Amino acid sequence: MTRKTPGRLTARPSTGRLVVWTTAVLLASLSLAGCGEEDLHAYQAPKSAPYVEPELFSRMASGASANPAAPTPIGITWDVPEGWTEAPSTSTFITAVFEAKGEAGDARITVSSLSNDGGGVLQNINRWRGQVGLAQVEQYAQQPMTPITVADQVAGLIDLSAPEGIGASLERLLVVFIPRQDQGLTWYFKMSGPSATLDEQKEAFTHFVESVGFGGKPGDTSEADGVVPRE
Amino acid sequence: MNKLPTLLPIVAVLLALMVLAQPLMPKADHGAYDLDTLARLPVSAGGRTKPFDSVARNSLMIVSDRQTAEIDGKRVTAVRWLLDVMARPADAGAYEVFRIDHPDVKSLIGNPPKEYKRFSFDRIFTHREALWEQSKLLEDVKPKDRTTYQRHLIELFDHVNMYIGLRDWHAPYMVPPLQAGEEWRPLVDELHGPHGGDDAHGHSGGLGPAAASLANIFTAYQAQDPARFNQEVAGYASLLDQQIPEVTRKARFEVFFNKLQPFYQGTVLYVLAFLLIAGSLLAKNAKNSSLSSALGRSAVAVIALTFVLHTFGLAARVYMQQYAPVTNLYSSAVFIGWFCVAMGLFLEWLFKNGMGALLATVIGFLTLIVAHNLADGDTMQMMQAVLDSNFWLATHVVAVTIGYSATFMAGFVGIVYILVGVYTPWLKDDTSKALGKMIYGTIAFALLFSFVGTVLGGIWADQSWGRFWGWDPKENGAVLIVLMNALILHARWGGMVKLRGVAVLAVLGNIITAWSWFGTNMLGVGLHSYGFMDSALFWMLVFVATQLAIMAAGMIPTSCWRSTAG
Amino acid sequence: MAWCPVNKTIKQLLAPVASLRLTVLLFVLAMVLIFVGTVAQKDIGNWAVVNTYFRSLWLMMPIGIAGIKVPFVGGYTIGGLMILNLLAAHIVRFKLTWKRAGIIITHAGLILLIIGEVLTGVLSVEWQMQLDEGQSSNFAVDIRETELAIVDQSPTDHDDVVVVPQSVLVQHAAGLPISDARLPFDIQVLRWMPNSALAGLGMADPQLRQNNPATDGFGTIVIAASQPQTTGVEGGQVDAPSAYIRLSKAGKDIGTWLVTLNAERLGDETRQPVTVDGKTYLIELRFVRDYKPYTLTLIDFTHDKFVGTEIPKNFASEVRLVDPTVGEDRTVTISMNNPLRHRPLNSRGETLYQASYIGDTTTILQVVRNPSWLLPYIACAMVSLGLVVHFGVMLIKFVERTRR
Repeated sequence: MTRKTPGRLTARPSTGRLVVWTTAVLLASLSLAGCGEEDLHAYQAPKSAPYVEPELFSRMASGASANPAAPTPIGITWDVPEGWTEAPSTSTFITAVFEAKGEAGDARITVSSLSNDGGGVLQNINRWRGQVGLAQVEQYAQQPMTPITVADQVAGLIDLSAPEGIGASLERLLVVFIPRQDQGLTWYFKMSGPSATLDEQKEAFTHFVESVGFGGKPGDTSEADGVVPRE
Repeated sequence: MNKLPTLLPIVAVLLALMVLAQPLMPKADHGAYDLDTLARLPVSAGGRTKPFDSVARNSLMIVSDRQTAEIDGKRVTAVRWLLDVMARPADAGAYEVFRIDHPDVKSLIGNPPKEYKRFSFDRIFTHREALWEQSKLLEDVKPKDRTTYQRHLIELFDHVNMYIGLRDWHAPYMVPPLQAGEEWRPLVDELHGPHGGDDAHGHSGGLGPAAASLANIFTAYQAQDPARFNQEVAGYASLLDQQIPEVTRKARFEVFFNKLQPFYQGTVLYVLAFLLIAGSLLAKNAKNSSLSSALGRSAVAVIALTFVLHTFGLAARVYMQQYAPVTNLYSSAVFIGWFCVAMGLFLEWLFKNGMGALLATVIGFLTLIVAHNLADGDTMQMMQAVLDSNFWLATHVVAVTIGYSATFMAGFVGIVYILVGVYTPWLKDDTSKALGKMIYGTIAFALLFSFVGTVLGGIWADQSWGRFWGWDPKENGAVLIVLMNALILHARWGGMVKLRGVAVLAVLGNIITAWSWFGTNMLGVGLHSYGFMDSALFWMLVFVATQLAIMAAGMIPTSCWRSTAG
Repeated sequence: MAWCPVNKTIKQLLAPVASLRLTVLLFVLAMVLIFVGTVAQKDIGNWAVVNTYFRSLWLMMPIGIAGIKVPFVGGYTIGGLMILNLLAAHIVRFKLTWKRAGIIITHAGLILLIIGEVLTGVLSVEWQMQLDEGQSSNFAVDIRETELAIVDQSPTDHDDVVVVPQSVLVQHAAGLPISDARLPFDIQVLRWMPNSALAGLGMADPQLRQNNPATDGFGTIVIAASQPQTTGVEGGQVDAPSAYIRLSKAGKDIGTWLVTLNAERLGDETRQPVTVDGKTYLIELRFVRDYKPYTLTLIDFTHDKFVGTEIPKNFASEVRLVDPTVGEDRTVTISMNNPLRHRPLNSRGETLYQASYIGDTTTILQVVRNPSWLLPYIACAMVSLGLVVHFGVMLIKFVERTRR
C-alpha cells in the first residue's frame, strides 16, 4: 500500500478548482429557482353565510346621503348643559372641552376618542385610578361602575375620588367610556376637578352623556372636526 | 516538616465559614415587636406564595435598589419598612426610598441637591402636579420612541403605583385560601368587597379568620401596642401552621434563604479563593513550592465549600419555585457560574496546575455579579404557559445553558493563555500544551451540549406549536454558538490554527456567547427597555471591547510575546 | 485502491470540495448570515427574514452603514455547499474506525438535518384557525398572506370563489388593472398599503377626506392610513393591509372600494357587495384560506392565570372534530404540549396546536401540515449519538493519558 495520506490531499486545495465548483453549484441552484409566480385561482367553496348589510349602511341609506362622497356621514351629537362653556381643545385626540364653574374650583369636561379599545380597558382604568392616586386593580371587574345608557348602549360610569388625606393630581374624576364597534373607536367623556364642584355637576354630566347620539345625519355636521352640538 | 500545607486550608475554610455565618446572626433590633414571625408569614405575589419578608425585600429592591430603608438617618429592615407602609401609611411617607437617577426627573420634584438619590413618598407627592403634567405628555408617545428621561419618569410612576398598591393592601394577596375552592385574595377586597361594600365572599356577619387576624395585626401595630401585636402575629402564624403547613414551611425556608444570601456570600468567598489561588500561582513562579501548594490547597478547599453553597442556593431555588433551575436571565447567570465552577474544579483535578481553580473563582465571581445586577424584584417569577413544562425546562434549557457555560469556560482559558503568554514569561511549553488541551476538550463538550440543547429546543417547539425551527432570535443565538464551536474544532483539525489560534477563536466564542445570552434580548430594546437594559447594553459593549482587545493581543506575533512558548 | 486511475481522478476532483478550509469558510458565512438575519428582525418581520435570508439562494444584505447592501449567499446555498462538502470529505477520506464512526454518524445526521429544513421550507404549511365558543369552521387561514376574494353566492349548494393572491395585488399596485376571464370585473389597484389603520371619516384630516378615493362600501365611512410594518421582535403582531381598488367592466367604471383586513373592526360583516350587470358578488380582503375536509367546533375554552397576575398558567380548547372523509366524529381537548394529530400517518395529515387566545372565549389554533416532521428527530438523534461516540472516545483516551 503506497498511497498518499488522503489528509494531505485536502490541506491545500487549488483556489481555481474551488471557484469552478462554487460557480457550478450556484448556477445549478439558480436554474432550480425559476419557479412560476402565483396566479389567481377559482374554486368552489362550501356555502358561506348570507350577506347581512351592516347597520351602519342601512342608516346611511335612510339618511339624505345620496352622494357617498359627501363628508362625515357619522358623527356625534349632544346637548350642552346650561352653565357649561366651551373651551379650546388642547389635543387632536380631544374632540371638545367644556368648563363648568364651581366655588371650590372649575370642573373640566372633555370628549375624546381613541381607536379600537384605546389601548386596553384595564390599562385605561388603571391610568385613571393612578391620576387620583388610587391603587391599580388586577381585573376590570374590580372597578365599581354605575350603569348608564348612552345611545341605546349600556356603558359604565366610573367615579374615582382621591383617598382621604392623600389626594393626587386630580381630586376626583368621572369617566364614561363607550366603545363603538361601527366606528372602530372608543369615546371617552371625562369630568375632573374638585370634589365639591363635581358633586354639583354630576347630574349635568350624566344628562350630558345620556344626550349623546351617534350617527348624526350630514345635516347636523358642519365643523371641520365633524362635531356640532345639537340644539 | 512544614505544617503549612495542612494548616492553611483549615484556617481558610474556617474563615470562609465565619463569613457565611455572619448574616445568620440575630442583630436586627425591632424594639418590642416580633417582626421575625411576621417576616415568615406567607402571602401570594406574582402568582407564587412567599414570605412577607421576600415581598418586603423585593419591593424595596424595585423602588430603592437595596434591601434596607432609611428614615430620619436610621436604617431599618425591609420588613419593618413594609409594615410601616401598610399599617402606618402617614408616617411611612417619610421613608426616603424612591430612587431617582435622572436629573430631569429629579428637577420635577423640586431640584434636590445632586448627591441625593432616594426620596420620600411625601416629597414626590408634594410635587405630583408637575409630575402629572409631564405624564400627560407621555400618553401619545409609543413605548419604543420614548427617551431615557421618559422611561425613567414612567419607571417612577410604576414605582409609586406599586407603593400605593402595597399601602392600600391591594398587593400582595395576603388572605390565604383556608377553605376548598378559595384562592389567595387581597386584604382590601375582604374588607370592602370587590364591588364597593357588598360581601362577595359569602362571609356574612364579618371577616374570615385570616382577614380578621391580618386586620388586627395592622391595627395593633398602628396603635403601638407591641403585646397585642405579638399575640395576634403568633395566633395567626399558628393558624396558618395548622391549616396550610406546606405553604408556611416553604415560606420559613425562604426567609432562611433570604438571610443566608448564598449568592452574595458566594461572591465574597470567590474573591477570597481568587486571592489564595493568585498567591499560589505567584509563589509557584517565585519557586516557593511549599507556600504555593499550601495556598493552592486552601483555594481549592474554599472553592469547594463555596461550590457547595452555590449548589445549595440553586437547589433551594428549585424547591421554592418548583421549576427547573433555569427560568430567566438571573437564574441562567447563577447556573452558568455554578457549572463553570464545577468544570473548573474538574479541570483542576485533571491538570493540577491552578488554572481550573483560577478560572472557577473568576467566572464564579463574574457571573454572580452579573446575576446580582440582573435581579430586579422577585427573581422567581412564574413562567408563561408555553414554558410551563418542567421536562423541557430541565432538559433543553439546562443543556443550552451548559453549552453557554462550557463555551465561556473555553473562552476564559483562551484569555488566560493570551494574557499569560503576551504579558508574562510564565507560559512554558507544558502550561501552553495543558491550556490547549483544556480549551479543546471544553469546546468539544460545549459543542455537544449546545447542539443537543438547541435540538431539544426544536423538539419542544415542534411539540408545542408544530414548528421545529423558526429562526427566531433566541434560536439563532443558540445555533451561532454551535457553529462557533464547530468552526474552532474544524479549523484545528484542518491545521488552519494551532494552540494560539484556538485560544484567539475561543475568546471570539465569548463574544458570540454573550451576544446569544443577552444580545438577543436587547434586540427588543426599543420595545421593553428599562433602565436595566440600557446599562446592560453598556456593559455588553464593554465586554465585547475587552474581548476584542484580548484577541488583538493574541494576534501579536509570538516573537513579541514575553513567553517563548506560544 | 489508490492506484486505480478513475478513483484517483474522482478524488483529485473532489479534493477542493472536501477541503476543511471550505468547511470553515461555510461556518463563517453561516454565522454572518444568521447574525445579520437575527439583527434584521428588529426592522422586518421574522417571516420576511426567513424567506430572504435563510430560505433563499442569495440576497442583498445590508451592512448597516448608509443603507449600503452587498450580495451575500443565502441559507439554501450555504446548506447545499455544506452537504457537498461533507459528502466529498467522506468520499475522499473514508476510513472506518471507532473515532471516525462517530463523525460519520454526526455528519450523516447533519445532512439529514439540512435536508429536513429545506423540505420543511418547501413542503410544510402553517395556518391558524380562530374559533369562538360554539362556532364551527371548515377552513384555516395563513396569517402571513392575504387574498382578495370575489364570491358568487348564487349557486344553491356552493359558492363560486375567485381569489387574487396578495402578490398579484402588490404587483399591480398603481399599475395596469388585473383582468382575467374568471373575474366578473377588472380590478385596478389604486393603492396598496402593507399595513394600515382605519380612521373614521368624520375624524380624519379634511385633506385626507377630500382625497378619499372610495365611492362605495366601507371607504365611504372610514379612511385607511398607511402604517409602518411590524417587525420580528414585536412578536405576535400581524400586519393589516388595506387597498383601494377601482372596479370596472368593459372599461365602464363600477366604483372604488376600500378593502381592508381591518374590516372586522367595523362590524361582524366583513364582506362588501358589488353589483355588476344585475348580479351581486361579495368582495373581501382576507387571510389566505384553506378549506379542510373536516369541521372543527369549539365547545369550550378554558384559561387559567396565576393568582393575582396576568401570566397565563394554562389554556385548553375542547373541540369537536368531524371528518366525513374518514368517518371521524370525536371530542378532543387541545392544550399546550398536547396537540391534536389528525391522520398523523397520512401525507396530508395535519396537527392542531393550542397557539393562543383572545379574551376568555376565543381560541387560536395553529394548524400544521409538515410531511417531513419526523426528519429532524431522526437527524438530531444521529448527530447527538455521533457526537457522544466521538467525544466519548476522545475523553476516555484523554483521561487515560492525563491520569497516567
